[in-house]
Amino acid sequence: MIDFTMPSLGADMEDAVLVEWKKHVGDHVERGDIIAEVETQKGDIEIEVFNSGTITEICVEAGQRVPVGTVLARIDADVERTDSAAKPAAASAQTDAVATRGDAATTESIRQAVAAAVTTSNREIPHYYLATTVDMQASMAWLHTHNTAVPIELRLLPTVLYIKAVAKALRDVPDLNATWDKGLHQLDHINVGVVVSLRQVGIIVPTIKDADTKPLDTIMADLNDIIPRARDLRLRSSDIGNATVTLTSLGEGGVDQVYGVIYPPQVAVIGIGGVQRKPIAVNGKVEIRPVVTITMAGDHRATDGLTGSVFLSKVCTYLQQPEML
Amino acid sequence: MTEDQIREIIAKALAAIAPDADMRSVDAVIDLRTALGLDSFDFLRLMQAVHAATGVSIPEDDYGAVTTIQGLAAYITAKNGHTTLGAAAGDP
Repeated sequence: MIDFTMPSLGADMEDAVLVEWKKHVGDHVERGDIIAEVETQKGDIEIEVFNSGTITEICVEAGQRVPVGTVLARIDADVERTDSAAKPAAASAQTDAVATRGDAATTESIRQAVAAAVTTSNREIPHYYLATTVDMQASMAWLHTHNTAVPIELRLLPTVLYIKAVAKALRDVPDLNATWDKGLHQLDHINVGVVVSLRQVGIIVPTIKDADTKPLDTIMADLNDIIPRARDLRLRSSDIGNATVTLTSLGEGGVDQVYGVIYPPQVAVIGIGGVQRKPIAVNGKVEIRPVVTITMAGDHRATDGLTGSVFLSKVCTYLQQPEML
Repeated sequence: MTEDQIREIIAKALAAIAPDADMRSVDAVIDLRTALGLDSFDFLRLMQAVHAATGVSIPEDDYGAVTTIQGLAAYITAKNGHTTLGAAAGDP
């Protein structure tokens, strides 16, 4: 028997309202079938079932608001699915895929979800802020060479280098790849949440999982997959909600630097400004070089400025050696 | 490929990349990135869509010439004359 539970769509999601059952006791469901519709701050979401089987019990009636993880229904899995391969799937039945719908109500609730998350953050997390400027000449030259040599579908963006450099630096400074819950808890995986602008609507933060171990091409492929879906509000629960750190980049928007708001229970947020051509000292002489300002906001309960400083230095070092990324 | 066809390809690509953007605010000579709020990811998708539809692969060094609909259409028209689809599969 499989417990079908209310999935989580992010650390800020505590509960949701079960709006409607699409299936009923006795119905046979196939993996991928939409079993119910729930209302969250991120909009109405259709929940898919990840196991094939027969519904034996409905535990939550329509209209009820229930916490994440609540058993919504019980499913008697098909025999062929209960052996070998299906066992791990059953154990993680919470990772049911979801599809969000883009409508006016969703737009408004995304704004509300962002508002709630940043308000909680600002109230509860004592932020400290650091910034550094890094010479991007080597990275930009490396990208240019790479992008000239490959087909257009395989071109990389600077964001990919930032994600990888941040992820590798987090491996060096694991206290920043952590959560704060009455104490610092380091996390095993390095999953970088990347802030995607929904233009007028707000922001959404899909995740590049295990970014420290992924080749640059794979990170770019992940972005190619995930950003258009984020913009269409077609993210799945596995795309969001498991970030261990957040990266925000205003790209070529024109600003020099951006200071983020930490997304709880994470303990750091990294901000990347636009690449600007500026005079800097190189080997005792002034040169015009492409530079970028990288900032970090840290949770001062979890770490001190020195930790953040070591981390930012590592990020700079990696960005100055792009061939090592 | 006529200029009208090329402009239609561009319009279609932009509608797919920025479905929420108001295309009425975009004339032929305005910078698309500013007018539509396109970031570098969107702009790369536009370049890829143009390549898929016309066979013209625009190198990064030429991005400055294709930031407007007029500039992009003129660039494609110029390259389209002496580029075959097969030859354009890889970057120059």
